[in-house]
Order: sequence, then C-alpha cells, then structure tokens
Amino acid sequence: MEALHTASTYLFSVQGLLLVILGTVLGITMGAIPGLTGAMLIALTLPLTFNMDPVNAFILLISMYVGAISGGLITATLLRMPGTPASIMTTMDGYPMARSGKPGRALGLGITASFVGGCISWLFLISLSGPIARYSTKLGPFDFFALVLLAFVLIASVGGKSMSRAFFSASLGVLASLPGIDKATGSLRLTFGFEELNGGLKLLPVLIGMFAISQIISDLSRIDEKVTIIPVKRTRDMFFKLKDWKDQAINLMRSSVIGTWVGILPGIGANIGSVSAYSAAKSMAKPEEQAKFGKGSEVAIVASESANNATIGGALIPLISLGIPGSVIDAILLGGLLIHGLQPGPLLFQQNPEMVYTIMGAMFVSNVFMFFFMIIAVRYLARLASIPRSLLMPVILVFCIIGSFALSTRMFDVWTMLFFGLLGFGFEKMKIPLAPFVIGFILAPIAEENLQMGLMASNGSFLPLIQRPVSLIFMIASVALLTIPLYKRFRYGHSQSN
Amino acid sequence: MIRMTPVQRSYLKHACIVGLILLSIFQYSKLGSGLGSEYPRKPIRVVVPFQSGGGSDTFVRIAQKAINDYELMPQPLVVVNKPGGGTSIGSSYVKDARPDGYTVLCLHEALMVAKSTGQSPNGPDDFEAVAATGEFGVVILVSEDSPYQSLGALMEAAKAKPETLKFGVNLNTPSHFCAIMLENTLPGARFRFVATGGGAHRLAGVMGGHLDVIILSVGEYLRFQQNGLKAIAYLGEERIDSIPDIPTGKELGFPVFGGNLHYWWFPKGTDQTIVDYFAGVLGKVMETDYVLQKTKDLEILPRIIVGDEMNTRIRQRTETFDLIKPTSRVELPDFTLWTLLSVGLFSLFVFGKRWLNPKAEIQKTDGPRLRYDLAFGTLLMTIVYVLLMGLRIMPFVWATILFVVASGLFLTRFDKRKFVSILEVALLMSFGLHFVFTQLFTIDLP
Repeated sequence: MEALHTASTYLFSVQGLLLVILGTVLGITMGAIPGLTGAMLIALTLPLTFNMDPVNAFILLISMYVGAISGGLITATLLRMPGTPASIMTTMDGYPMARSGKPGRALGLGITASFVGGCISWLFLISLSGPIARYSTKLGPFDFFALVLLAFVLIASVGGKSMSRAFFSASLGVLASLPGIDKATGSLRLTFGFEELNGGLKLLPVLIGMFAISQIISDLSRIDEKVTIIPVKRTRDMFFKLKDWKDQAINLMRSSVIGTWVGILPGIGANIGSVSAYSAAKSMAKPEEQAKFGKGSEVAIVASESANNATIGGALIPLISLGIPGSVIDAILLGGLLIHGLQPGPLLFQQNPEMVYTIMGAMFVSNVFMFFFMIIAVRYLARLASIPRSLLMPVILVFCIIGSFALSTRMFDVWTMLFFGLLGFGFEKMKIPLAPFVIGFILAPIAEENLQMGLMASNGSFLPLIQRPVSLIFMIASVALLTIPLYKRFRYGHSQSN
Repeated sequence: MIRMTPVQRSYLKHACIVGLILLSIFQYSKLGSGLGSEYPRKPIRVVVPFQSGGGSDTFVRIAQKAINDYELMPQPLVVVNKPGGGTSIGSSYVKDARPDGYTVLCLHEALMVAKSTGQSPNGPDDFEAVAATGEFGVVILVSEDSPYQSLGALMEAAKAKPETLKFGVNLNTPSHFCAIMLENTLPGARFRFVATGGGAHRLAGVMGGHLDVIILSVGEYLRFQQNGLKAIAYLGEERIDSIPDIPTGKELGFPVFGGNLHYWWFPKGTDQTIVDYFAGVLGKVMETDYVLQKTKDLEILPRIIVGDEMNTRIRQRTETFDLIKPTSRVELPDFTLWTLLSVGLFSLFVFGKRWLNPKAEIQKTDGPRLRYDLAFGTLLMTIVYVLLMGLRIMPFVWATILFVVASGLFLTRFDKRKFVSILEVALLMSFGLHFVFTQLFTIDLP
C-alpha cells in the first residue's frame, strides 16, 4: 500500500504528468512518422534517462511505448504507410475508408479501439502479474530455460513467413551475445584479443544499430518518394456513437483479449497481435461484412487497432513478473530496468513495488491521455510525415551516436552501432527478419545463465528439463510449435513455403 | 489565439531558434572558465565499473554529495559508470588515464579477484591506492526451514556429503572466493557451487528451494529478512550492531573474513601529494553527518584505512586470493560451438535455397529510383564524423556542426534555400546537446 502511495505521488505530481504528456506525445509523433518506430525512440531515449530517478524514467518510457503503438494508425489511415509495423493491418482497411471520404470516421474507429484495447489489457496486467510473480518464485532454472526456448520457437514459427530465416536471424543474435565473460567459467570467449569486447556487445548500440541505422539507410535511399496526405476536416465524426459501441462490443472484447494473449507470449508483439485479431475478426464476421475486408471494413480497423494496443499490457506481464520480455520494445525496457539497477522478475514486486505500480499506472494514464490527444491533434499529426528527411535524418544520426556513446562513454560502442546498422540493412535486403535477432541477443544470456545454473545444481544432468512439470509443458509446446508447421508443409506440398 | 501571417510566424520561429542557440553557446563558453592554480583545478572523474544503482555506485554518489554539501573540496566529483567485462572496462580506463589526479577508480576487492582469476589484466600493482573506505560485511544464509540451522551443522553436512549442498554464488567474484575460503576451514568439506548472478537471483533460489545456502551482504539480508531467511553466520572480525544476535564465523570456529571495502585508486605514477590530498578529503567525507547517517542506513561501517595499514591489507588479501583457484566442477555444454553449428545449419537453409534457385530473387520494384548513393554517402559522412571524434581530432561541438551542415547540404543536393534552416539545426544540435548532456545528465562527450 505504501508503494502504491509512492507510485501515485510520483505519477500524479506535476513532473510525473508532464513526463506522461511528453512521452505520449513523442511516442505518437514518432509512431506517426513512417520509418521512425517506437523501438527506435525508446532505445534512443534510454541513455537520456540514466541520470533520472528510475520511477520517472519509466513513466516516460512506458508513455512512449503507449504513444508509439497508437501513433502508427494515423499515417496508416491517411497515407497508406503504416507509421509502425504494428499498424500494417490498419492500412488495409483504414486507407480505403479514408479514400472514400470518411477519413475522420476511420481515424475515430482506430483511436477509440486503441483506447479500449489498452484498457482491457491493462486490466489483465494489474490482475495477472501479481499472481504470476508470486507463483514464479517456485520456478527453477530449468523452467526458465524451457520458457526461453519456447520464446525462440514462438518467434520463429508464428512471427514471420519463413521459419528458417527467423531461426537464422535468432542464432546470429545468440552468437552476438556470446563475446565477453563466460559466466560459468569466468574465462573470456570470442573476444579476439579486443579488450573492449571483454564486457560483450552492449544491448543499446546493437539495438540502435539494428533498428535505427538500418531504417535510416533505407529511408535515405527512398528520399525522393513524395507523400500525399488525405486531409481531415471534421473532428465530430470521430466519436463512437451508441450504435457503434453495440456493434463493435464483441469484436472489441475478442480482439483485445487476443492481443493481450499474444502480448503475454514471450518474444512476439504488436504486429502479430494485430494480424491474429484481424484474421479472427474476418473468420467470425458475417459474409456481407467479410466481403468488405480490405476495402474499408469498420470491423477490421477496430480489430487491428484494439489488438495492437492490447499487446502492450499483455507484453508487460512477463516482463515485470518473470523478467522475460514479451516483445522487442519490452526487451529494451528490460535493458532499461537493468541499467537502473532493478532486477525485473519475481522479486521486483518485493524489492521495488513502487516500480511495478508506476509501470501499471503510467500505462493507464498515458492510455487515457493518448485518447484525448489523438482525437484533438490527429489532423495536425498527419503533417509530420512531410517533415523534410534531409533535416530529420542527420539529427537522428547524431542522436544515435550520442545514445550509443553515452552508455559507457567510449567510441567502441559507436562503431558497434554502425556495424550492426549495416548488418540490419543487409538483413532487410535479404528479407531476414530483425526481431528474432534482437530476441535471440537478449534472451540467450538468460537461457545460458539458467541452463548453467540448472546443470550445476543437477550435477550435469539434463533430465530435470522433462521431469519438472512446468518445464515439461514448455518443452512439449515448443516441440509442437516446431513440428506442426513442418508437418503441414510436408503434407500439403511446398505451395506455402517462404 | 493571435492570428499571424505565415511570414510573421516564420520570423517568430526563427527568433525562438536563434534564442535557444545563443543560450546554448553561452552555456558552452562558461565551461572553460574558473581555473585556479592549486589541485584540484577541475572536477575529478570517479570511474565506477558497475552500472548505476548498484552498491558501489550508491556509495560513490553518497561521497559525491557529501563533498558538495560540506564543501570539502573546491571542485566536485563527477561519477562515470563504466560497467562490464568483470570490472576490467572501468579499471583499464583509469589505468590508461593521465596520472594527473583527475581520474580515479572506486572499486572494492573485485579488482584483486578479477586479476587473480585472469578476467582482468589489471591488479593493485597497476594503481596508486588512495584509501579503503566503508566496510560492508557478508552473512551466510539458509532458508528458515532448512535442516542446517547453524554454520557447524552446514559444514559437517558439506563434509559428510561432499558436493551435494547447493551454494549460490556469483562465480569468480568475492562471494565465490568467500565460499571457497569457508570450505578450506574444514578439510573435506565441499559445496556444489551454482552460478546464480546477482543477489536477487540468489535470494529467489533459496526461497524456491533450488539452493541450500547463499551469501548476501548485510544490507541485502536486512532488506529481505521477512522472506523466510535465516542468517547463520556473519563473516567479519566481530559482531556488528545491526545484527547483534548473529555469531561471527570466527566465534563458531570457521575463521573466514568476507568483509569488503571500497578502495580508491589513482593511475600509477600519480603524484604523492595528490594522493595524500585526496585521501585527506575522503577522511573528512567519512566523518560527515550525512555519510554517517547514510552508511548506517545501508549497513556499511564508516571506516577508512590509509597508508601502511591499507597496503598491508591489500597485500594480504591478494595473497589469499591468489591461493584459491576456482574451477567449474561440472562439465557444461560448449555454447559457442552449439551456436556456431546452428548458425551454419540455418545459413544453409537460407542461402542454399537461393543458390539452388537463383531466378526467384529477381524482383523489380516500382516507384522512384532508390537513391543508394545518398544513403551510403551520408553513412560515409557519419563514419568520418565518428572518426573525427574518436581520434580526438575535433571535439563534439565542432564535429557535429560540420556533420549536420555537410550531410544536410548533401541530402538537399546543395539547395541554397535550405541552408539557413540546416545551419540552425546544426547549431542547436551541437551546442544544445552538449549543454544537455554535460550539464543536465553529467555525461562526458568526446
């Protein structure tokens, strides 16, 4: 209770509310500008929060998370360019509806759905994370190892089109996490004599490189593309009417719950949540509604937008209760918690309960603020897409460099960032997904540490992996997720491959 | 709202930006002033080789605040966190710094341990030790319902069934060494060491029944006491006030000393007068009411050891650590090998298919031509920009102005009309960010 009080005094102070506003607005802005993503914004902001109080830092970061996932719908609807990957499905129906003369209506549906999705998943967040955290102190190292394995398999089998590419990306990510000190033996490995590599590759330069630099390279190469924005005239169209609530209630509930659960699954986030809810909505719709999908269906916009915002609350659950990130942005937040000296996981509830309540509170307040801000400002936000790239890109490059440098104040990290930028760009060109790389990079040390811990405790035996009930369940799930798609492909020929 | 014509609005915008730029330049120019002749003439950088928020970091920041608040030195301390590499990143940085008294390392016995395990090339001999401050003790903990309710019972069990009791430690750090020293007090006693990482993980291990015994600092123990933990011994020379009922290892017949101090190290070759001056300042720091109160809260003893007593202590501890050769007692899979194998396997899937079926790759995209010349030109400029700063040819501010202007002009394809806005952005970025980082966030820029 005392912690709840502390958290609310922080959150509802002038400074706290200003941070929520700043974070949400910046998040929406970055989300709305195609090519700038929430992951990039949060990775670049993290170094700025080193000297902030951790509670304030997380009010800011969580607000950015909420804003960034929401902002994408603006450009998805008005420009046919998803501002963030989370809004890809919104583009399919939002843009046709906007073209047909109802841009306000399309935006309104998306904004309200985002808000409702956020609220529903928030309810799951506050009710589930406590019990999961309490239960998880009983989980041993083998259970955590099995859970991480499941995350790898999930992101590869559900995340993208090609499983082999996703696994390739993930195993490179694991490889990138290896240099440095081997925790079990204390000896150095894969440092090739570079003393700078003794500490391993740092999360932040790798992330900034992978997400920001590679994106900048591909944005710059597309600098000549012109954008045309559909103007929005009336704000009045944006509000839900009673009939809308009645029509969309079930869809909202279903999509938000799907989004939340996809969020909870480790490793995969908003874009997959949105795709899953979209296809669920399509398969459950009446035939006449089904025909409208892809041509401006209201149901589709609501499904996609409520689900992508619902993944936020879902993905925060494993982050704060188990210390396992539910999505790429959560992986960055995990790094942020560690930088601030906080250990996410079962004990966060005991050690820093104020932090847990802050994260929960900030998500809610920012969600409410997002709703009003988007309704009021959406017309102006669309113009952000026309900021000249020639001014924007050098500025972002400078931020990338400072952000990588500030972590340990050494140039080595800046070179690391540039290297991974080129690597990320190469990945994109070869259609290798980036997300598995990052998840592999972040989860590998967790997997390795837990496996070593388990093996040391079991005196080298792997048997507990299938003897302990929890890890057995995770192992069976992993094997099933791996083999079912392979079986299907074998059974139905190669028509679906790649 | 006042209605403005677009021209007026544009003037107002420019005026605001110019104002901000002037303010930042003003702040920048202030930095060079205020020089005297006596040491210290500028802020002293304290390198902490751990992340901010940890025990060492907290301790240094307390000292920093005390120096400021009680005006113990004409210049402030600036804390620089350089985590990673088993403390070697931070210690190498200080070792290679100029021995002018403006860079100092604050690191506890991990310096000796990291050297003796080969994790770090730097040991006490590479530095001038200034002082050892703030002693923090450790306790041996079991869970409340553990069958081993005393250190004696635990050690006997470790002897009767060697390598079965699971002892959670952070491998090759002082906690691990402490546990090995404990083994050495009773011939034949051996634990099964489990690498657990930080204190919170260890705690979860004992609570979940995955570990039998752990070591935590006294501060950590008092924070987590209510979690069903029982302290069976305090590893110090005598009992301390905050846990008067916990016997010391020495009393129980297991004389292990696990106390640790925060040592302050200057680079080798630093002038002795500077070392003495700084040691004097630290002595005053440890006597301030603020530090006394804070150390009490954190369960740290506000001791300070200097001169011969400190040097003897460093030598003794180094000898003790050098005698201990920890090795992993369990055969573990080779992660590097397995990872390389899987990279190889999946690259076969990804590239093999492409090689077998090269036609599938040719896909034309519509739309305007992709300008890779611009993209990679800018990237090249970025590399030059980083080189300029990395090789210390140019400081951050000038290099940034040059970079933003050059790349801006390049990207607009030398459009003269955009020059003013590019210059504004460049000045704002360079001076503005310099101000924000060095003043607000106290992070040094190149």
